[in-house]
Amino acid sequence: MEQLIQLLQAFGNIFVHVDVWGAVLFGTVAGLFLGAMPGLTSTVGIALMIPFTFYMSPLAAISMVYGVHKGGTYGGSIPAILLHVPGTPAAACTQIDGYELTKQGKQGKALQCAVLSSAIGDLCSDLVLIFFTVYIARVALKFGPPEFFGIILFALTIIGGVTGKSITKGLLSAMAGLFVGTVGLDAITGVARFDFGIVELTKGFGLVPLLIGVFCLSEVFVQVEKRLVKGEKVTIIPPSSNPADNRVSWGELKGCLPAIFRSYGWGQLIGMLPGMGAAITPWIGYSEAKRSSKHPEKFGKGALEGVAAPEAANNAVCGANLMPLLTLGIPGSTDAALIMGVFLIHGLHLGPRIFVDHASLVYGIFAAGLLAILIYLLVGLFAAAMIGKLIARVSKAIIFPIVFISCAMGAYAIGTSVFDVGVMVGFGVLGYVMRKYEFSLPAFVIAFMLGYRFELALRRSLLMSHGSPLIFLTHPICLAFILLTAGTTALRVWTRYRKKSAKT
Amino acid sequence: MAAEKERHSLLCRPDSSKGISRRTNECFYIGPGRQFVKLTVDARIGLVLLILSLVVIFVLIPTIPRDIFLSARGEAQSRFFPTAIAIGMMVLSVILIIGSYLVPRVGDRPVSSARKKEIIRVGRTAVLAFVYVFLMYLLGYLIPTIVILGLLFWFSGERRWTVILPTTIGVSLAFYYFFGRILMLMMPRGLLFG
Repeated sequence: MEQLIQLLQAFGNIFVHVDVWGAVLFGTVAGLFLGAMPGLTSTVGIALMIPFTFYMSPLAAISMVYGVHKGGTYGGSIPAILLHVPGTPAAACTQIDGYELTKQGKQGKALQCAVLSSAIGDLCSDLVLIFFTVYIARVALKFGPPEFFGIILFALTIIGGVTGKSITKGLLSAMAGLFVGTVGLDAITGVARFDFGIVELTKGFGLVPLLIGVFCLSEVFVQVEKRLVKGEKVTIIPPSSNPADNRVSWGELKGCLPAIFRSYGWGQLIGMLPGMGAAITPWIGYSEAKRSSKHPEKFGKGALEGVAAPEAANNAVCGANLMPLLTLGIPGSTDAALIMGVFLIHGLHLGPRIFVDHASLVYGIFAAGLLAILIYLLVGLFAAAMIGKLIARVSKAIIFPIVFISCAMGAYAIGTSVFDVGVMVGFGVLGYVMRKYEFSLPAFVIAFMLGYRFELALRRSLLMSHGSPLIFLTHPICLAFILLTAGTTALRVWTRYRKKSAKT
Repeated sequence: MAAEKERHSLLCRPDSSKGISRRTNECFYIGPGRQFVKLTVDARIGLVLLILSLVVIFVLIPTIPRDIFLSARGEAQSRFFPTAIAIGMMVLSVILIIGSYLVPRVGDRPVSSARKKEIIRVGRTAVLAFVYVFLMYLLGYLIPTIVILGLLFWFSGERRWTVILPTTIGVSLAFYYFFGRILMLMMPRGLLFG
């Protein structure tokens, strides 16, 4: 009840402030377009927008990037359905049945199904976020440095072990991120580390230039690999003349609801775990929907459930990712890590205390999330086909050079320093090399962002225990997370070993 | 032993029937005769990271001043955490090197002429990016942005001057106006014009 009252107050607050609802509207629509543009994901969109949030109020800033996140996650389904090219990795599953429906002239039906499923999955996960997160935060308020050490260790190991193809490379990426985070002044003693006399490095590497370089500029390099031929013509299949083929009937939607809610469940569960982004949940949702469908033979040939399930799953992750972020300060995905960056830029430290110190801000973000769902639902229902046609005409040869300049200006804008632009380019090259050799970018970035707190938790714990490492074993929650870390790592290694042995 | 030799031989043999050489994942067999050890891709990466870790431990970490106001216990010092990470990276690098031979990757990307062109395209863009930073430092924002943007369009495959010129100048000015006038940001002036 208390949460409902806070939420209603937050809605009132949003609609009174033009900058806030304007930011949500802009962010959601921009995210939708960015997610619809293959190569430009919501991750790139958030990273590009971070510098602009510097000039906004905290609520407007965070609401805007949250809108980009939600709009971008849904937006990837538009080219997946219309053009057989997923706009985001999360939409790769949607194209299987989505494009089959397009080939039958039923793209209107597929697009409507996608947006309705996305909105339902997203809404359900947001409601869980709004009404249950505060209870997790209340428990987390009792955590001390050893507990946070254990949780962050578990999170980093999961992220390093799950993202990417190799556990060793994932963990190496996380270690590299932790190491890069040590550049600058030591948090406890104030001693300068690895600055080599460069004044700009005293504060460490800038978060924004690093994020923009690793995610945006590396993506530009990946796109530049292929020859970006100007004016590529993409064939758009014309829709059917039968009106029933261009909309989803109530009966059809009702038939998809079991798949939608089942997939939402998977998205909610997996999205809460650190490192589990939206890329794998649609596949789990799809395979579960196929397994429990009355007509599994229709999957792959234009089954509506084949569109509904992955879309519900990938949008359910949006709200779920924010649960560990807000309660523990641990981002559940790359986008959540970028959203965390916006919090840090505005001097807001994530963790359970944010529900105590900035409760109105938190509920404002929740309300903004619900508003973002409404916005992309309306845009998706009425303008998705038009967006698809527009995206098909845009030349990558024009877009990506402009993205490069945006990256440079975004990196410059934070500290008005050309040094930051150089840092951005350096991390862009590093990000590209990491991608090519299958190292994990999310592990690197999340470790960089958590490194400060991880080191602080470790050293404070050892200071509390006068140097005895047994403190990590005598605190039950810390011990539980250490055992979980060891157990999940061993399980993962064993599973990989068994798979590779079966292949050879 | 013979089966092992055969397996490695198959992995190492260049696939000339497809016109490409499998040099990306050269593995080796140390047979009775003299053989040069060729490193797998992952082994090379592991070796580089191992060397970097050793450089960090023996060269970089000693540059961190020792604390004088805290106790001599290692855990309170500034060197503790970077040292722990570097040791962790060292161990993982060794695991990567060993793992690359225990489970060789078959069917890796071959180094083809198409791949070389990709590397040239990316390398060219990376060099342009660094040149852009240097020029921005010297000359400010506008001229380097116009020049580099034009070059990027050209290298991306756009050849129509009717598109390149107006887009280059228009986008550069648009960014200048947005950041300099609307966001009131002090745009780079450059060392020569500052």
